[in-house]
Amino acid sequence: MPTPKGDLLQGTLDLLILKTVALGPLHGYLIAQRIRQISKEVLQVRQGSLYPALHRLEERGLLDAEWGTTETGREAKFYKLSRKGRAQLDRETATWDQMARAIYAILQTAE
Amino acid sequence: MDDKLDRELRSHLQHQVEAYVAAGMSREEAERRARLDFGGIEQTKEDIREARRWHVFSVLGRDVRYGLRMLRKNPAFTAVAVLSLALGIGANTAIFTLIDAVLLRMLPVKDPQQLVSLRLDDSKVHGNHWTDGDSSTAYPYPSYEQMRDRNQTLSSLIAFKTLGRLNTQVNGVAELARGQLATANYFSALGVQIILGRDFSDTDDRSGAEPVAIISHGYWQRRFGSDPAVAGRSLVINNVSFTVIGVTAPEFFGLQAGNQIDLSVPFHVQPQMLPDLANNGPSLFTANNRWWIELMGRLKSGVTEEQARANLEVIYLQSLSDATAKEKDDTKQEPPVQVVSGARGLMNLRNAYSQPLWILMTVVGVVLLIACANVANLLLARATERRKEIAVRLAMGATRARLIRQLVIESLLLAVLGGAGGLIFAYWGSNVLVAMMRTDYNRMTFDLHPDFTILGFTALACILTTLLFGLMPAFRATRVELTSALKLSSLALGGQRMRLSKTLVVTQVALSLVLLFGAGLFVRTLVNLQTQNVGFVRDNLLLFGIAPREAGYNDARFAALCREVQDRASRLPGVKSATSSLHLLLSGSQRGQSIKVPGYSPAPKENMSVRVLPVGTSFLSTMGMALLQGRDLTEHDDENAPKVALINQTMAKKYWPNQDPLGRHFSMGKMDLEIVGVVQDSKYSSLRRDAGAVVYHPMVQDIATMHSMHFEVRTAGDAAALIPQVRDLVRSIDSRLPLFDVRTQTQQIDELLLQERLFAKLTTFFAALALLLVCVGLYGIMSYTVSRRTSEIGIRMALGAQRETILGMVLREALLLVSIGVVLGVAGAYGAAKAADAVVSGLLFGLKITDASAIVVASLVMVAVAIFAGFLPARRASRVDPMVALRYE
Repeated sequence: MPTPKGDLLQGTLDLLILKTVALGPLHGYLIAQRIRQISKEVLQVRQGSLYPALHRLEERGLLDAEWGTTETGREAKFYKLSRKGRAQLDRETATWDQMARAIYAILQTAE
Repeated sequence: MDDKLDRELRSHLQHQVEAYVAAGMSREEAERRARLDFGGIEQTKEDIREARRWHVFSVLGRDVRYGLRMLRKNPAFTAVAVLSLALGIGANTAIFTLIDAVLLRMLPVKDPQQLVSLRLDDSKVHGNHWTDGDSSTAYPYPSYEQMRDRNQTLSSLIAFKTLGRLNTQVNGVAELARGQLATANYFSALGVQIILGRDFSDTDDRSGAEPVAIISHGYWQRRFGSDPAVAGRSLVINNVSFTVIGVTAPEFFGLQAGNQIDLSVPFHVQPQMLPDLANNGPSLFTANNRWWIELMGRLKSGVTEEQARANLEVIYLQSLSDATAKEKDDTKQEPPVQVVSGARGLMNLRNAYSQPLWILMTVVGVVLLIACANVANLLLARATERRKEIAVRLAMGATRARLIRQLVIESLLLAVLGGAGGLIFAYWGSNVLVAMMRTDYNRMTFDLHPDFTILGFTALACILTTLLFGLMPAFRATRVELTSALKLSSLALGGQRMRLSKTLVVTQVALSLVLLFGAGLFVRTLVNLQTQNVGFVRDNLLLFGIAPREAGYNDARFAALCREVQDRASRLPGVKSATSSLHLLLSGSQRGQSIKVPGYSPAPKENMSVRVLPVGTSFLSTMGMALLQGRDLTEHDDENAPKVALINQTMAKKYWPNQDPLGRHFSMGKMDLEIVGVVQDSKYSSLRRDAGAVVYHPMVQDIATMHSMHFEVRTAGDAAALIPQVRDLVRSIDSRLPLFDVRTQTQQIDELLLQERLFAKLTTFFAALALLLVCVGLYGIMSYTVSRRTSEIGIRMALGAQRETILGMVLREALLLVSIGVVLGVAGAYGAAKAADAVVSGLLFGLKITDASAIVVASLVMVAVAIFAGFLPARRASRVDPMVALRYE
């Protein structure tokens, strides 16, 4: 699977996207915005990585997509989490949590 | 897809622009920044497409791997399914290969779609030309020259004349070859490459030019051992010495699929090489009332066939002199010129074979349907076994679409394996077919190598069969009530599947009954043709022919030679008697001539032509034909004696009804003939048609019109055993005379019945194949029924049922299925017979298409097969141990 380019850990972008759209349908631009805002500008998702990831997730059935209009009246493709995507998000979140704890535990050990 | 991608990315850009504008930038600045932020749009699109594609492949790959694993796990199932499909697809591909080679493939020349073949639509024209179907292909030579020089619609126009049997000698070895007269522009206009030596030049095709020949690649390999220095070597054709100047490219076979042309020579050698084509008339190159050459042209670009037709017709009509127009007093109107596509070569062979080939294609199509039904049944059975697996996967969250895809991919894998096997069967099978169509005289050669058309056809067959046999079981298999499937055993379910399977088996039975019926019709046709009374004794008769004119024999020497050959052949040990005739009976060749009968006034437009057979002495006694009145021809009826004839019954009845024809006279051409005997009717050139009126007269009294002669030798024992002696005999008389048509009368009839035999064999073979598939299908379903009902049978036996009762019970069920199938099949066969009447009836002989005996035999065979296929499962059922059976699941 092609890895997201940029500073994100491999597979992390997928997880971030799934989490971002878990609250409700969003289009690509807003997904990128949301990730940036919530991470307090730390995580910048480049469009060149975002869109391939969105399409890959859609193809795997983790995201459902449909066309709609934004509040500003613009046409945009909205992504939302599918049933399968939710299961995947839960699994991935658990795995990530476990991983983060493990890494943190190692980092905390006294020298 | 691409469009949507574009819209999505554009929408993103606009959002960004708006955000920047809201932050206080000017619109231009905002757009510039947004574009900069985004980076390469095209690159992004490519990445997106890549992400999607990659995903599809990874899923497909997983399904294929999984499918292959499932097939490997059930080798018996896989083998039966793949073999069924391979036979079905192979049969279809084999017949399609022939259809492609004979009917569909374009000529291997430059831009074949520009070629047009010129014909005359001539139900009315009479003349010295041959016809094929309702239009003739022959034109006079002067018309060709005018059309070639004066037309505005063709970029080139070529002429040719196909020659059947040429007597050739290379290095002193004599052989018969097929050739053609061709105009000098023949190869250049067609765009056929001369791979060795040179093409014809205009000076080659002139009266008095040095005779030159261009040979085919095959002939070059066969007779010249692929000599690279063949240009300049000499070659004798009909006693004229030619210089070989070139060799054509290997893919070029002539203009007619199946008829390989060995040699091409310029038109103007005709007077030396084939003097009797002119029939002692004026030169063929100046006579505009002799239709004898065929034309093919290449359209200029942008010109339609109709424009060319109109253009050429004007020139054609002008080229015929007034004299010609007067000669055809019965029709003032000239037949219109026809221009038809020549992209696939000449029509003749295609006409002869198209109908039989399409009938065979239908037959193999039905075989494939039966094979599909078999595989569908196997899949249904397996689906029941896999019920638990499928239920588990559904419970784990797999979607139904996903499972159907998986199952269809498994089916596709089966079809592809079957298709691969089918290609092998087909390559082998189509070669066997062509070998069966080939005779000594007609060496059919086709290019049967699988090309893209054939591979495409096979691929299409694979996909279609997959849909046919795989889709329904896949839908059926995935329609699962989860809870019940997980709880219950596989055997307790499947009532619906039984109904579906039984429907499939009934369909198979019905379809194969139709095939059996068809095979029965063709077999009986063959038997009828073979066993009918032909009017002479066909066993122990050896035949051969010689063509001494090409070796320079004049009339007197020709007659003397025929007498000597006949006389010495009759004195060979083991020979009872010998005779001679211009044509052989039942060879397909015949001579027809118009007669005038004093005292008989023909109706207007009545056809006064009769069939004529010039014969040697002892013809009737050697052939075993019955003389009804008068006397046989003797050696006293020679060149100097009064001209005499024997006539057959039909002729006697027609022209001398209620009179004694003996001693009467009639005229035929320049001859006045006296009737000396009446002969019983017999077949002449065809086994299907009656001969009509036939005249037998001494060949020596009309020898000038003949250039070859055949001999019939009646032997005491096996006729074929005498072939070496006959060859030695002719060689001892003149070693330059090659023998042709050497065969027994029975072989000759077999050759005449080639197509009928081929048809009977093939339809029987395919019907047998269908039966075999039905057997497998029936056996499968009965075995399955028995295993499903094991506990029921156990209870019955425990309650006292006899083994015979159980045996009968199962057999009755098999018979019931078959009976339903047979009833449907009989109805289907009659329906098919009605629908195919126009196409098929012409191929039958001595029976109607709705022949009752054929259908009865087909039904009986079907029932016998049912008993056979049902017996093993029935016996297994009758041997069930009640104790075991009751504990069974």
